[in-house]
Amino acid sequence: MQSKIELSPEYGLLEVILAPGEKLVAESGAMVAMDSSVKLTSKARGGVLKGLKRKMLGGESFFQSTYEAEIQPGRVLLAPGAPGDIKEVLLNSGQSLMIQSSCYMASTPDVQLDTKWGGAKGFFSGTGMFLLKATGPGTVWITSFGAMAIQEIAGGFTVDTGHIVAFDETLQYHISKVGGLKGLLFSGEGLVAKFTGHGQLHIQTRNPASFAAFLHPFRPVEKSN
Amino acid sequence: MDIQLNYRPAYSMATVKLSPGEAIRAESGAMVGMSDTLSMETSARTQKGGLLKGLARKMLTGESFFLNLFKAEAVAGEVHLSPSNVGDLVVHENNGELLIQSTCYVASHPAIDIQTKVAGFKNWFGGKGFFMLKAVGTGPVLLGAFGAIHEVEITEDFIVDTGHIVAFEPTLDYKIKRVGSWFSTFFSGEGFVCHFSGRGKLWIQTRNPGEFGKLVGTKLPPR
Repeated sequence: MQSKIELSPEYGLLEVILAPGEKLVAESGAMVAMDSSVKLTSKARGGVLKGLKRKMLGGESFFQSTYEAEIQPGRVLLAPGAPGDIKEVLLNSGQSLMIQSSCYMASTPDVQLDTKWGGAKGFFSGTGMFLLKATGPGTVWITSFGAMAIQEIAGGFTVDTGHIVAFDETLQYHISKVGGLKGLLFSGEGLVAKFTGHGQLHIQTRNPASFAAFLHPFRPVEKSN
Repeated sequence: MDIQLNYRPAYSMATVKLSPGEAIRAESGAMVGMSDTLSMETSARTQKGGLLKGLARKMLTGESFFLNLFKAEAVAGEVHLSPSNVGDLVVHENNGELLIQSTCYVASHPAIDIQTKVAGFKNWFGGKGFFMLKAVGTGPVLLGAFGAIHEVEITEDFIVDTGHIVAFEPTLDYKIKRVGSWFSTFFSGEGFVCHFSGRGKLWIQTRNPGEFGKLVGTKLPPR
């Protein structure tokens, strides 16, 4: 399997060339184009129940697509929904990456994907802080709204939950509000994740929720009749 | 204080490194992440202001009500800041006064006072969120744009659509005007422009947030 990321960081596009017999798993809306020889199957990965759990808890699509090159090599082009970047992360056997569910795009078939709670606070807050746990061996492709920055954490670091893309399993975190009640209500920062330990955190330089908040006032107003 | 800008122009993010005792003030919502060695204090300041002045800022400018102060106490640290829109950031070394469109203000040195009462803009409403702030003092000011930022050195009269203004020096005189007649203002969508004269620097953004909001927001289901 060969892969390359083009048009980065503004409009990242992933090209994967599959050798005969190779497969690629991707989030169901990610496909841009592919060779007609590539076989596409959609299924609830890990069975319907596991898929449902992912859908309910992870926010990521119920169906995942599997692309397979059968007799001849085949090319698949994938892109995320938002303008932004794509990064490739290599996972050793047993190594895990926690991914904000909407930032997962694709992975090699040996990578195990499981839903992990973002903590009860994350669940109730409506921050969309749902996590997928991707465990190697294999490659996973993650995406960002805006550019993707890598923050090396050694000690403590606080991040707005809307800017989290993914982080090493070696990091501990807890969700909290900043600056007491006043901070929560008025600062605009709302909820943050406080990370401790040693590892890498991938952050996105734009926040989807802030962007949605910008567009909200432009929505038409419902007629009362 | 060291300010680095990365991922320019589209997805710019500022990384501000603070030595012990240093601080930076930022628009609420601009914080992406920060070291645990920094303290964050939410306040309704400005310097003399307190809550009432904060309220006045909210009412008059549409700019968020609270600013956050990030401070390195005993240990150095860093804070990442980004604007909410897709676009560039610039650091302006302020020395005196600068007029800033409220949605383009991202952060400033704590010695700089951010004021809201800007004569000539106060009671004027020409488009969503177009209100001015005045930054007074010496130190860096971080400005964020929708799109790229284009610097214009004005030496003769110049007209700019209000939705494209980021900031300008107070040595410039300005007048808000309609383009053409009331009829064309209403139907053309061009709305209001700012007519500058005198000499000074003006920063413009290459995209107009109001136009983008109309393009995309009106296609959403009613709220």
